[in-house]
Amino acid sequence: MNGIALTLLSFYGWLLLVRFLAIRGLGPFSSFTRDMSKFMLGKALGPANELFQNRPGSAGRTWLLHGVMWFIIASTLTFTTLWRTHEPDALASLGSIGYAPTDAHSIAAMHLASVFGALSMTLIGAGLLVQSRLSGSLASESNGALMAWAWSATTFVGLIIAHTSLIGEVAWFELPPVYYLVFSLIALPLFINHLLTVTEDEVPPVVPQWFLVLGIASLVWTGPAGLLLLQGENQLLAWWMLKVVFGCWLLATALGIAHHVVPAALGRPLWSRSLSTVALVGTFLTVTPLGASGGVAEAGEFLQAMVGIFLALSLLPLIAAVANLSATASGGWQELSSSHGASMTMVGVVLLIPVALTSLFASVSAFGGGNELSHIAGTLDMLAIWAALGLIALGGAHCLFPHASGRQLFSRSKSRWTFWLIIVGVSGFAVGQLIVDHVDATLAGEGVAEALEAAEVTAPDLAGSIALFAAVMFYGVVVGSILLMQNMIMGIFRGTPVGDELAMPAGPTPVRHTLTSGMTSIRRLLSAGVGVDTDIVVGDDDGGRLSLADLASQADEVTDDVEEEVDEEAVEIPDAHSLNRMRKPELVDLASSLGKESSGTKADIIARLVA
Amino acid sequence: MTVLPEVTQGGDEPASSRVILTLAGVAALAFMVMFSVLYPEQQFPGLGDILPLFSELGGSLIWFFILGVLLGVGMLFATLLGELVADD
Repeated sequence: MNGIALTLLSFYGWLLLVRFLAIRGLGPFSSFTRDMSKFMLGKALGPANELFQNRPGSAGRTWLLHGVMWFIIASTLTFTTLWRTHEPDALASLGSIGYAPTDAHSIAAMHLASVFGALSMTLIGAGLLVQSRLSGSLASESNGALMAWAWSATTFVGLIIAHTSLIGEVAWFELPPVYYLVFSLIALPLFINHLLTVTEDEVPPVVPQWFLVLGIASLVWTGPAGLLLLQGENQLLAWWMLKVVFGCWLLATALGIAHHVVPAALGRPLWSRSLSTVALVGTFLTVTPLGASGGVAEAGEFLQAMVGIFLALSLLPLIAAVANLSATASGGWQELSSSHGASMTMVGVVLLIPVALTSLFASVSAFGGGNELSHIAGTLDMLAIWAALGLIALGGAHCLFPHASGRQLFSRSKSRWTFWLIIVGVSGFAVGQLIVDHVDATLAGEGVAEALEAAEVTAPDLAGSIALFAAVMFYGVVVGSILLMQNMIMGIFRGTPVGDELAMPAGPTPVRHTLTSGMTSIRRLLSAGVGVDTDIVVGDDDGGRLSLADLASQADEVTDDVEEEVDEEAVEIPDAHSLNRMRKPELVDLASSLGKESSGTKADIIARLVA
Repeated sequence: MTVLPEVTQGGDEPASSRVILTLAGVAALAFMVMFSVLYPEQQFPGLGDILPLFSELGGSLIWFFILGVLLGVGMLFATLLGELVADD
């Protein structure tokens, strides 16, 4: 009990420290630590840092390419593992070349490749791109790209270790605890990169940035914490680490990406600020139900009750996030359906609710209870990875990769095929595998075998056939991943340049477009196919025609007018009471607009303004 | 009266033709999955049974799928190589 209290204290203490650093910095030491951190991310690496260009988007692009490559490997490993539950000797012929994994080896390799290879790398890549888009640029692109290769190499080494006798029995952490420390060490420069990017930006971090920074901070924490497992079997710590990886790392990062991708793809802000705040705070303060296969055999009543409460509370941030993103997307279904990446992300977000709800029952039952749902826990974890979080990660890759490569994905048809193959594949797998789990659990029930024997009835191998069906359906994910990779590679070379594509309407440009009374926006006009040379007929009494170029010049005039008004207003300095109620960034802007020094604390800036 | 040639080749590609292709693919897949159920006495031929080159792989159907993955990965490398050496 004391051990878990210390672990929890260290975790939340670390998150609070990160929040403090992101907002306040280190006071007088800030510039020194910033310079040191930049040096460590760049020059300190020596020639290795020169391997990659410090171009905008290069880090995110490298991570996404590696991530999708690992999606292919992980989905293939998952497919073969699923198949072998039906036909254990399917790959026996590979024994002649030394590849004869046991079930434990296959599962350890599958877990490693899917969580730390595919999902983590894709989420990190998308997260870096979100961060650079929101802050203008990353602190160090070349360091980010270098770390992608280090992470990939570490995962590959882990894949080899997973096929040796070094593996243990801790669910999802089968490899030796020291191994996971390497991931934390690689995540540390990424975390510093995120932190520097956020602190260098004058605008305070927004919700997606908080998700990303705190998410990667959680990942950094898991490495040192995992070393405690070296002391011996500690179910409670292993369970907490699993929850941190699934909830505070994977889920948080996925939600951060979704909170950026959906509004950005639709061109509209998030529906509710309070719901996004609840999603952010709740994700880190509650215990996620995802990662249902982790459990604790024996727990005290108090601890069991507390864990049950925090598991149930975890639905609150999930529902808040899903409701917020759904409300943001509502009314924009046309734009949503035209972007396969945004659609994929939205489907993943919506699937979070059923997966989390089912996992909640399994998780509560696994923590000191009878573990009655242990037979579906593994399937639920796979659904969390491939259905909910995987779709968000791949949707993020679809939407953000063009911004990193500077070119659109090559083929919309391939994007559509990727979308449907993964959705249908995961759905078919879910239905088939859940049936298999329930049938197997029923047949393995107490007295069932004896009763069948007494009745001289042989149970048909229904579960075996359906397991085969589940594996074949999952093959859709493998093919979808390959298609996405090909689409990305071809997009890098032959995709439409992002700027040109956005400037030109998708279809043929109409010569004339009639506007009725009311309001509209340039985005709506562009989506209606209006081009720069289209005559826009305004349907008022006076009539009249203008083109989009005219509208743009009018918009510039309006912007100039607004800026002039802002300048005029900025001369007036509010009284001290109003200044105290303003946020620091607003005070900084005000001081800058008046040509006064904007550094120091809030009180310092107010003192200068009223002086 | 219009006289059509004996053999006509249409150039159109209606959207519904893809639906038919997909349905045909699903039907073929369903047949393969249901083969051992419909004909329990017979084993569905594996890759090694069809191509003697792969006879050492055994009769498992998983090799059809793994072959698909290998072809897909090969296609990725070919695409990458092709784009890198493309002269345009």
